[in-house]
Amino acid sequence: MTQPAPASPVFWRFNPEVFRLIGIKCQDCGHISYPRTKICHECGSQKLEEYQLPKRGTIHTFCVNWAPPPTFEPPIMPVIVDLEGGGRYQGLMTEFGAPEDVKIGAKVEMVLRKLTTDRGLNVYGYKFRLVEE
Amino acid sequence: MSGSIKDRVAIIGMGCTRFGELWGKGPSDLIVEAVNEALADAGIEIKDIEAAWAGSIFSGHGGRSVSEPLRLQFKPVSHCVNACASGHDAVRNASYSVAAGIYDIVLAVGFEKLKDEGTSGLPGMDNLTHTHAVATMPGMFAMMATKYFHRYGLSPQEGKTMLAKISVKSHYNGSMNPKAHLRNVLTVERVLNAPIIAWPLGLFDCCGVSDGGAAAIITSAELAKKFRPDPVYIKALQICASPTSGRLTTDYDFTHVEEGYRAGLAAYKEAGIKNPRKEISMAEVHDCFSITEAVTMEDLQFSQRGKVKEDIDAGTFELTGALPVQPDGGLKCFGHPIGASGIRMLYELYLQLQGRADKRQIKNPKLGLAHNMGHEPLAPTVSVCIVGL
Repeated sequence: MTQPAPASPVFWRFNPEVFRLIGIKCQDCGHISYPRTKICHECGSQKLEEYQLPKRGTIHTFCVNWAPPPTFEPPIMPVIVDLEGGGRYQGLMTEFGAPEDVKIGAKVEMVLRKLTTDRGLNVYGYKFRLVEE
Repeated sequence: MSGSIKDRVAIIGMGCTRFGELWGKGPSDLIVEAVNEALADAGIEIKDIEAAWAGSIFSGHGGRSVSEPLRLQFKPVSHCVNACASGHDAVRNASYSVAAGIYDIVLAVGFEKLKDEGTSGLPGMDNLTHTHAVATMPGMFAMMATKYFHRYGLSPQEGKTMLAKISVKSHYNGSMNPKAHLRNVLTVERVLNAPIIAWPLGLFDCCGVSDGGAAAIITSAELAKKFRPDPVYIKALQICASPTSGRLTTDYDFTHVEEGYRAGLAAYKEAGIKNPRKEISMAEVHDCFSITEAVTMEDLQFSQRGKVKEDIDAGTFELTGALPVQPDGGLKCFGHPIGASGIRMLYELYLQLQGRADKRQIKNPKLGLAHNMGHEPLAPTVSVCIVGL
């Protein structure tokens, strides 16, 4: 359960999913899932096609974490975001003013940011920021 | 599928170490201490154990983790790794082996030496490899609290006060338990003013980090009374592993735990329970965080959806209430040495059923329920065990 090194093959393997936001859409029932599965969660079909998710969504819930994982400076604001059209992404908020501005139901968009530094290498990933409606 | 474990096996001996920051003790010490108490309680010796199941996440490394310290002589030992349900899963597998008629006397032992991991909280929960949130366990459950407050229209102050009462209740019970790690009595005011760990959860909304071990000796219902007049019978053993639907679908709303609800349903069916709130005498549930206990009261059908606050305010779950919850102090006072927790819960129910719980004794209990929830709200593994006389 230790953190893989930044050069681990796991990052390369998850590249389409984590960085290109490729989820799956079931050809039988139309269910959209993110993260990807091998078997449709809704109907059990294995006829799945890749599906490009949008980089927009709505905050489902959040917290303000004052005791974050090692290498992160507190506070961080983890969010669960329901993506437009289906799928769910867990990540961190960025570029918010006051924590009070972050609310359940707020619209957000994804931006690529450095998440942390691990063993001398930068680790990149998506964060969310609030969008004006 | 029509099988049921109800009344087919019984617990005839149990042991539990004191929980705490046990710097001078290793996993082997915890195992030997817990098992010695269980053996003495059952009136048997190590050589009488025919097979064993171990529950542990970080401190166990196969069956040898148990055979080595106990000097078990070439016996079959399995190691159950099933998140926070590992202890209950050890009991479950041990019970099934007896019910199947393979063995007469078996051991289930749970243990965890968290203080050897060198981390605060649980180790290895901060992976960045996939699409998991950069969130600690307090962070994941804090997001549950945020959503629960939002859905049921509780202001942060109202919600936090509801949660504070849960900690106050459990700490009051734990203050009377010599085996508990944290035995301090709290007030709502002190809980509300504690440092924030992951808003809205503060320090006392989170369980501690403790070491501990607990053990159970299990035999068949036919043999049980040869060992003691008051064996405690297993009524239900259910585990529900999540298909991780909360991560994949936007349907999951973060205000309940589907796996907890379903594990409860399956256990009530197995035990023949129609009205859990009336029939269950007491419960030990997975209060890793206070919001977990609140939601679990609803998942197990002790409270109506969205209405747990009414029961908390009415004192329903206090030691003198209609349905005492965490009579021993719960994870709040015992921390969560993962593999040990499930069997530690059963230890309290066992003592209560036998009338041996001292100052914490509940009047005339008939059925006790133990519940563990592994992982996080989006993708948990939940166990529910019901025991009774």
